[in-house]
Amino acid sequence: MRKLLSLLLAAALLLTIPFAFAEEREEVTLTMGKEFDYNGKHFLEGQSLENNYYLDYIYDQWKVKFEYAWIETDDYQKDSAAIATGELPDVMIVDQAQFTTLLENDLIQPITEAFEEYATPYMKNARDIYYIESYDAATVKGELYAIPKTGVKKQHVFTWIRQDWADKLGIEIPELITLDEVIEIAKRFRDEDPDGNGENDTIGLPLDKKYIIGQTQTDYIASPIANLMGSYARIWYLKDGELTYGSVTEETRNALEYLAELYADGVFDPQFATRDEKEVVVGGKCGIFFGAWCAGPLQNSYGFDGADWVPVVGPVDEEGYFYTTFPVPSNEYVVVAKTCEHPEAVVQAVGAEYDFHRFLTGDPEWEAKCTEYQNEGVNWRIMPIDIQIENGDIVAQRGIDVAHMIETGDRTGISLENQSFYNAYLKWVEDPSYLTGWLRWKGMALGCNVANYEKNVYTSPVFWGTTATMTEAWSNLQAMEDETFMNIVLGNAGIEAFDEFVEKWYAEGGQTIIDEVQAYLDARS
Amino acid sequence: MRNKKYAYQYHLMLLPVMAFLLVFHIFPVFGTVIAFEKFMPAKGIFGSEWVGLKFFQQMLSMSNSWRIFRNTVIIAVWKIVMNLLVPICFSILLNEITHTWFKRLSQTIIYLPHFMSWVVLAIPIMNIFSYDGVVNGLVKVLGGEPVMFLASNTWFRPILIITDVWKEFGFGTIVYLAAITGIDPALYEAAVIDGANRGQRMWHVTLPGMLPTIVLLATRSLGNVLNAGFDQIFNMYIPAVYETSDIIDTYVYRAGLLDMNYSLSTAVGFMKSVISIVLILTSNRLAWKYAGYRIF
Repeated sequence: MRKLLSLLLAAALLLTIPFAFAEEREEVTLTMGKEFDYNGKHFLEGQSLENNYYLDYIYDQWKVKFEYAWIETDDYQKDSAAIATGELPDVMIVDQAQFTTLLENDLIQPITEAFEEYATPYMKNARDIYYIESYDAATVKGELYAIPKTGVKKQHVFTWIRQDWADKLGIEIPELITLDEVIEIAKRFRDEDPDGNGENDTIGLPLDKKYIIGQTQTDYIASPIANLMGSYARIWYLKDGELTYGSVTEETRNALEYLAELYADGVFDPQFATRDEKEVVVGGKCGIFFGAWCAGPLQNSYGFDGADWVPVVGPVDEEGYFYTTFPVPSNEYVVVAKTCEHPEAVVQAVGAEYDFHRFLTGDPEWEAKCTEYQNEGVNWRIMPIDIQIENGDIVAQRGIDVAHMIETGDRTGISLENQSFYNAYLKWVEDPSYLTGWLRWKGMALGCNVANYEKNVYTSPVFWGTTATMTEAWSNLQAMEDETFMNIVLGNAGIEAFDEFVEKWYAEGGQTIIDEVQAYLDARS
Repeated sequence: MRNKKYAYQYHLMLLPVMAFLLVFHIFPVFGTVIAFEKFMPAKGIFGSEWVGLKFFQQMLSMSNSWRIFRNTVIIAVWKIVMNLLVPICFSILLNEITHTWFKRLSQTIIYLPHFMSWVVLAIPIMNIFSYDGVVNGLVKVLGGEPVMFLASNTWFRPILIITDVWKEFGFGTIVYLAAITGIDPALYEAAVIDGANRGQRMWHVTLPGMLPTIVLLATRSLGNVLNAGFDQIFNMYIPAVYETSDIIDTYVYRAGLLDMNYSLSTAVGFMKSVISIVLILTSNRLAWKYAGYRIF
């Protein structure tokens, strides 16, 4: 009996050995603070944030699972509260200020080795070729402390116009649009009842309530107008070789004064300060706006009342030049809490989710699943660690590729990912109710190509970090800036409020910060 | 000695409340020390660098400080005064109504909003005052131009005060009605015999009868001079109206929790507490002097 038992035991042991080797690692669960806006996103039947192909592929590759510590539309407060208590989830995506605070407080761990060992070629490519500056910002004393966002360089807002409304009112949409034409179209859309319901309920241009001007990748921002006037608010750039903070310049003063005139004239949405402009566009109350190639409400608006949006380059100046900025190289960081036992799992997960997302798995089965996602228009934000990792001018290339395929039907040499967009387009041609395909045509074949317009003039930010004085004074200065901009445009304050703001800005830390940034740039060059 | 025995049981019943007070009110007070440090969460209260009055200096040098202090006091004083006057008038008027069912119904209706939180109420209120809301509909009917009430520094503060009074006056009314019920009916009979009309009875009997309650509530509310109502403002304001509605509490929230300036925000909060304590002590003395009531 005993013999039999020991034999059985030995057999059992033998059986488990190969499995033990196959199971190279134990299952790892990462807790993650997740920002996610369910609005406008959808999932495949039966899928959710906790159950989707991205997670499946990550688990399949690395046995890494995710548990969300929170899922919030805007998780900035949650991040800040977690930092304040020092109890962090394993992974968070934080902004520049939070990243600095985390570093100062020694709450996050370096991932240098994990990155070297486990970062995929795709990630390393992003680091090496285009965005050395992002990784520089994430590196402290030779140690990499985060996976920084490496965004798309050429991607900015431009003018979108509703062709169907324009036709109705007999407006010819030009190929290049000037500011005067934008304003004229906005006024006619406002006044001439383009939706034909007999009510005076349409508006001219929507306007972003948070920034008004200053970013060039936020929908509804009035930056195209400000940039045309030489104002580059909210970024640090070199103006005639001299370090300048864009929000305190004479040009910004002029731009705000002009925007206030436009607002008083009713060109902008009278309610912009208190509402979400997305609703206005989706609700069919607006026929012209400044938006990016992937502008959120386009597809919903098309689905709602057949809004036929077309992208137009502009507003341009008399010689046809369009002025805009490159985005700040990185303002988002994936950080790993000091308490996390598997920093390598974070790098692995990011690598895997992008391999899946960019058709780099080399496995037809997973590629089919990704195609399914692209066809259904499943948003990439559902991936667990939704940080942008792009290899440079992806948007411009996408524009060229998709337009080329639609024109000629020729797919040679085009990435699987871009081919999937063309497939979606073909599907739309057959079945007009398939909205994603429509968006592939409008957003990619037409919208992305705006980035390839040869007379785009880009201004580059030269600084995007946090200086010592910034940690204490910057948020106050920015609040002052937001408030002043908004009050001037609303007409609550005259333009002299701007001079007051500039004076206070310099006095309450601005001058010190300029000196610090200058010193930083001097030290770097 | 029997007294002591009773007192012992009463104290025992008080224990959970005392524990609550200790954990959530007394203990956090020591955290105020971070106002004097350059606080870093990881280093904790004991490890952070001591910087003395640095953040108090920064607070005083900020152009916003005076504004948030002024807004707090103005909004709070208006609310205190209106929340005193409106319920007094309303309760006296309601008391004159003889239909019991109508009285009861009105009490219940005006009392209802008191139980709702501002998170919930802010949404309908913002709709009512929005550009295409009910109020602007009325303005248009009367031939006016629609106004952006919630983005206007002229209108936002009155809206805060009016909606707060609307929410809270039902509660005050019930307290005063109770006080009125306590007035000896014999006084009214005597007044009638003496030939007093309705107005005179209100003025000479009802009002004096309510006076102790009025003085009590008034002095007690003095301690709230620096509480302008975080919940309400936080749920309704936008940057355009910071000028007239940014109060100490909303500022502390933004600076501390959102911008992670923990020390600065604690310094501002600390100043508020100091002033509040002075006001509470004063009101306590006043209450003792004029209403024979004291808290401690």
